[in-house]
Amino acid sequence: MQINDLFNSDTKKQYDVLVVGSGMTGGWAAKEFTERGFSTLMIERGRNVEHRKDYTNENKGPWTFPERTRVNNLLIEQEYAVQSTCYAFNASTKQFFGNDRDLPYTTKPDKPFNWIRGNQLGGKSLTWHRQTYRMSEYDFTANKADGYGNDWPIRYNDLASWYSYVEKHAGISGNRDGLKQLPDSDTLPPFQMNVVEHEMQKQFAKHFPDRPLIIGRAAHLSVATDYHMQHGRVMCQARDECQKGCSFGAYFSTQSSTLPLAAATGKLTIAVNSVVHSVIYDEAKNRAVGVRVIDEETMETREYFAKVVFLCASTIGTTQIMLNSKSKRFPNGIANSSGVLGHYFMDHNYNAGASGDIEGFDDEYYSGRRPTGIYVPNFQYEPKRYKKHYARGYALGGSAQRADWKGMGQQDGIGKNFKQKMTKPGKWNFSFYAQGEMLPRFDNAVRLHPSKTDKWGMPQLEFDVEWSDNERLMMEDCANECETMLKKSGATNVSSYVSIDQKPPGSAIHEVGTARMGRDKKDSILNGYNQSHDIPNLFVTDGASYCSSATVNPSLTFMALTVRAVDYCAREMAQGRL
Amino acid sequence: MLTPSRVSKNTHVDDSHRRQFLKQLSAVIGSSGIALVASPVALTHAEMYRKVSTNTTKVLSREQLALLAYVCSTVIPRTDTPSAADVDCHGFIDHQLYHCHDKTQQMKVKNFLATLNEVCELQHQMPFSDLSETLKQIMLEAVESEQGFSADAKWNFKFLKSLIVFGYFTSEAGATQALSYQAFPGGYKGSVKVTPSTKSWGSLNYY
Repeated sequence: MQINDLFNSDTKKQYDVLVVGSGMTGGWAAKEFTERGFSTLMIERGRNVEHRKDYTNENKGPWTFPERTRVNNLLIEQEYAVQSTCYAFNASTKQFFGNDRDLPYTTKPDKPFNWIRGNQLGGKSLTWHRQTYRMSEYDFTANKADGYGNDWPIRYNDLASWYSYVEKHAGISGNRDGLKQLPDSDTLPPFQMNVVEHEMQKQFAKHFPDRPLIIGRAAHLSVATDYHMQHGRVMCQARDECQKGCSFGAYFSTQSSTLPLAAATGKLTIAVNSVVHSVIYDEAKNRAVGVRVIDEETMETREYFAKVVFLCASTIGTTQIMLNSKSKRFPNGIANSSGVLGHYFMDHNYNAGASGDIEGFDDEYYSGRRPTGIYVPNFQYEPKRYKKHYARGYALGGSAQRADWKGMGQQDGIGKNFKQKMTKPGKWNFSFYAQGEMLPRFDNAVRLHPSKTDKWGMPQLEFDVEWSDNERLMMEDCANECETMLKKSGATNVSSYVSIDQKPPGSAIHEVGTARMGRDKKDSILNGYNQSHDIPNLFVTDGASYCSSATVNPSLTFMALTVRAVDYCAREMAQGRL
Repeated sequence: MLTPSRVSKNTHVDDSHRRQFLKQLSAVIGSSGIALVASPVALTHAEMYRKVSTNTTKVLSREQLALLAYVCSTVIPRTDTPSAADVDCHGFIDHQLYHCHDKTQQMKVKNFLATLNEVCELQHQMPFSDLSETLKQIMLEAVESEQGFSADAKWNFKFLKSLIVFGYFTSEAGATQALSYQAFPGGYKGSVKVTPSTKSWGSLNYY
């Protein structure tokens, strides 16, 4: 297929499928539909990003940036005040973050929210943190077991084979740890632990047998199989500069992994610079018949049509489109007969941690920048393991490393000895950070602002989201537990922190839950196949469909939900039901 | 550079590993693709730093900049690798203060430089720049131990020192000569033995 054809979208044509969004889930939906022979239009609000060619800052040393990868004050103030709160935002990656000036939103008084954006072809699959864990049976039954939120309409076994399917294609490094609270993935070989991490693993096995410390699992080709090399992907070089884009295709992204296969079918068309305004609804037929689009650059409106609409525009993006799709039957947003659209917003709570020095191991170092760390899965994964004063639990990410100039530069010292010290590996340090679950609460919601709009005329979103006491108590407990675990494992100079008052919801960029699944159409938007209860040819397969946040990084589950929904939808279409 | 056997052995593994990798790479993306990602700067020894002109300043005066250059070369002097002043750390700090820091932080540096010269005049009847190398080092050590200098002066200096350290180790010479720079590590090894020649990694994921 010619590249021109790939981007030659047609407003007159009725496609089989519209996929709104090109990130983590949009890429998978496009791949799965096109490989099944369905003509598919993928709609992306941002610009085209071409694999390799547009990774313009890849492999540039810090000295090549005038501010050494920092971003200057004026630019942050005017265009990136929110985006710059993301750890990965810097002068070498900012081209893959949204521009706050053009993407305004509002928050309720005293309820700050960080909305991190990735509006370009590939979306946030270019900039994600790439840690990939399956949800467990405990996660899918958590709401039912303790009564918070609605029961997931699916269980682990409904998703297990789809997890395998996406893992084999995406390429997930990791061990098979045999843990019931963290089901094994179909993995490539794991990244290595360093010696101090091995030591901590032993200490944990001895002192905290219910808290296994494992190597992280990440969507990186620790080894490139022939299968991956056929798609133009080679093994990870451990640069860990992924958010600049990776010409090796060593981590999973739309560009490296799903898009090439979708494009190769000849069934894919991509409409970039197309801000979806709303879903077009045919009330007589009760069908979503297409989407209304505003051109990102010219502001002109156009419409695209298809038999089926898949919303994969990110949790918040999808919710904004749905809320803005109003009709006589759905005055408060399409497919929203239940009234829960926009509610039960969740993020992950990354607001506690601890670190300490590890004595010894002076003759040990490591080589390369590992794109994952160590991981302690949630050990409070069922009600009988909860702490008495709050519900659910947290996983821990972490790593051991030797101090360098970034950590030692504040130490006393002047001259040759100081310079020498800065250039040698310093003390070993081990650190943990929390990945806490956030409870689903009706009150945590996003709505359309009654009057404010953005430059495309889209109503702005208003966030009404805050941490509850449950999240606060969990982080305080986590900080204490981490201190205890580090001390017991031999660390010295242990210190901990709680940052829940500094980092508002949204900061973990794991937003989920605003168009949730459920068994009962009275309190949910989607059924167990991510299909609208109200409108059978409308699907939502991104994080909006979540019933509970669990503790694991969500992208792998987004992918599995998407391919399962496509499989179901394709069968329904083949049998003439859609 | 590579002396003991253990390191040589690892390096040997690295080389064959890299050859295999480059072969794989050219198979899937072609040699033009390799040229794109494996830039000459990354794969060869870094060029020696060329001194940047500091004719125009942004935050500091010419006099303050000149004084700062002496502070830079005292904190991180020339050894077998360049000093902080050799890589124009002072010019970088003037630039960075203007673009990435606020007025309060700019004042910390200005105030410290003024205090430093005042105390030098008081104690030695000459400005910092005229002191011997040894005395320069002793004076800055005195700042950190608050001998003849206030706690304020110490914390202002600590801020300045963090800029010197950042500026030096993110410079090309600092990152690639004073430290070890791996543009393409070729994978992660969890255990590498430290030898007398081992340097910290200058190639980081975030700076």
